Amino acid sequence: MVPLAAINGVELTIFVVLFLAVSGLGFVASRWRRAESLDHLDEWGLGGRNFGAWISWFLIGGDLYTAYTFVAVPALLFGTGALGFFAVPYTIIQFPMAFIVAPRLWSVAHRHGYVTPADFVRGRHGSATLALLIAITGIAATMPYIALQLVGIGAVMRTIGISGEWPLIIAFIILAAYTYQSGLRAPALIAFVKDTLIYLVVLVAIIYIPIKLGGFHAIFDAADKKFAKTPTPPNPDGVVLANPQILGYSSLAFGSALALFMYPHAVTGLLATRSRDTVRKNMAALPAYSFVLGLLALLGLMAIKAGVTPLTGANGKPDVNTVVPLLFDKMFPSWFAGIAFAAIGIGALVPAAIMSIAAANLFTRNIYKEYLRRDASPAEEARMSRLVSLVIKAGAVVVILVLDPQFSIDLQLIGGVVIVQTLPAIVIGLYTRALHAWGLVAGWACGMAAGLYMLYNTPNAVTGKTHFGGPQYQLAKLGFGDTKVTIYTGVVALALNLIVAIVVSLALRSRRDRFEDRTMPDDYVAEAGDPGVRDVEVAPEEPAVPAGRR
Amino acid sequence: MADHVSGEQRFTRDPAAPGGAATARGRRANERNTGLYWLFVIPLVATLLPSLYNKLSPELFGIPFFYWYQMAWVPLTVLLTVFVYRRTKGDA
Repeated sequence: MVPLAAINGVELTIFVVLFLAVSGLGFVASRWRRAESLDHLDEWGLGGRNFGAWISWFLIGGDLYTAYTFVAVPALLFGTGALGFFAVPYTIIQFPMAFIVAPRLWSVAHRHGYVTPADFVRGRHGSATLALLIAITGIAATMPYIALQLVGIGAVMRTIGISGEWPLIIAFIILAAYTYQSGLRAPALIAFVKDTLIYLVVLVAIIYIPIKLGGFHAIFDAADKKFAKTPTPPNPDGVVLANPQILGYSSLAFGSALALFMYPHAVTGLLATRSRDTVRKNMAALPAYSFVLGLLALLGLMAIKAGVTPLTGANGKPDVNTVVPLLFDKMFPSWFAGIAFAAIGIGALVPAAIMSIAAANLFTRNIYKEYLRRDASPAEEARMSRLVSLVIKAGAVVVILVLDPQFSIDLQLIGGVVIVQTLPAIVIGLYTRALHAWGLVAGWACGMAAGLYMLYNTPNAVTGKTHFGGPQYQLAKLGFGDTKVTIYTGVVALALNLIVAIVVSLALRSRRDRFEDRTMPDDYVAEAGDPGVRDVEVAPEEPAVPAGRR
Repeated sequence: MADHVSGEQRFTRDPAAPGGAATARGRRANERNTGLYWLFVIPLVATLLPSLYNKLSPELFGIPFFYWYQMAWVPLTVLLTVFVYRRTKGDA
């Protein structure tokens, strides 16, 4: 059915060859740093909890900077200019913050064998209900994110000239097969290839394309002219921010940075590291990726100068996500465009694999084992997780094929607002138990309800949508008078969440001891490798040894 | 090997170990100078106040100030974080 003449053969061949080579790597990965068996979540789901600094740098970097980011951030600059650049301050500041907090999470998870953020919440706050809410929030926020990786691959496919849906299905079947087979080792190994390709492409692009387009000055001039043509209010665009956008810009950067390490896949990457020191080293070195992201973002403005027109999407509207692939197609010789497309395509595989593993672990540990089969053995847990990872990916494919892709983009937007509601239970929980479990539940519920309501109540004049029009909420609607200033919805919802959690905790002060804290203060500063302690073998049918019980 | 046990069951204290019941798996990280973490306020303020850098000039290689200023904070933040990492790292 595909019109063959429209397909660029060179691009397609290089894309397919690289894609298949990497898939082979994914299958081989099960033998890399091989464990005795993969019949344990620590092995399948966390790669043996033994990745050193270099592997972790590639793995976490490959995990957080997804194909969707590489396609969507430039697309945002193409559409609105300066506002899209929030991704740079966002990814700069998240790491210093995580540098302080993440080692504590690593330590307590190491001592207690926690695999998911909800495991920690269960152990710390002693409430299965709260842990369930955290797990469901995590799964709900991750699912659309996986689906969006398909949007990234789809944008590349359409640029090459393939319009059907079967390539996406094949790509995800391959991905599902080697994730099932190799677990977290697959994306860890593939991340090396992915990042090498991405760095190569970005470095070439940032030098070669501006030279062909007549320099950066000409690029920004063209962007300025384009933005000047469109009437600004109510959604201003421009090469720099309009005044009402300033608060929105910084609150979006700040709120997104808070949200990032709450995502289950980010936690999976953290917990797969070998030591607390590895985590700290990585938080210091990871911002280097932000530089690449910043350069990539500028590609969106270059596309304006190059006169790129987005392809029409399946829903009949222009799909701005095709801007970067089209720019590569236009500027590069076919063979290099093929490499660039492969970089984006492979870039989708790493995070999609980690996200599906993280979501599967949440289901297995915090729903299946907690509510359905309390006595599940580790081998059963691993088996369950592997199966669920397949279900999750199948679900993502169905969502993309059946529903408008815009739906996934909306969901991902919601995802950021939703996942940041788990921050009080996780981050504050890492420092103090001052917040009562029911206080955290109440705060979560209020933050969630307020966040969803505000998103629903956000129209977008540019796209003509009446609901879920964007992550910015007008201060005027919050009762701040007649102003055009907007603020990131997630930050407002989180503030409400915290206030409710504190108030309810104060009201329940006297009832604090009803929930058991299984962790000890010492757990939060533990480092790997104490020679005086061994892994103790416990038969599965024995009752749990209360390791950290007071 | 305890690969077939999971979660809480996998880590238990070894009464025979030095320190006995007081030790758990892992040793205490002996990070120091944690007051240096306050230095992280610098990149936060520098990047989260767009009023500081929301302008076109001075340009660098034709790139407006808004863009290259924020990009410049990537290496600066890496250097700062590496500095803090080294100064707070305890003896092994």
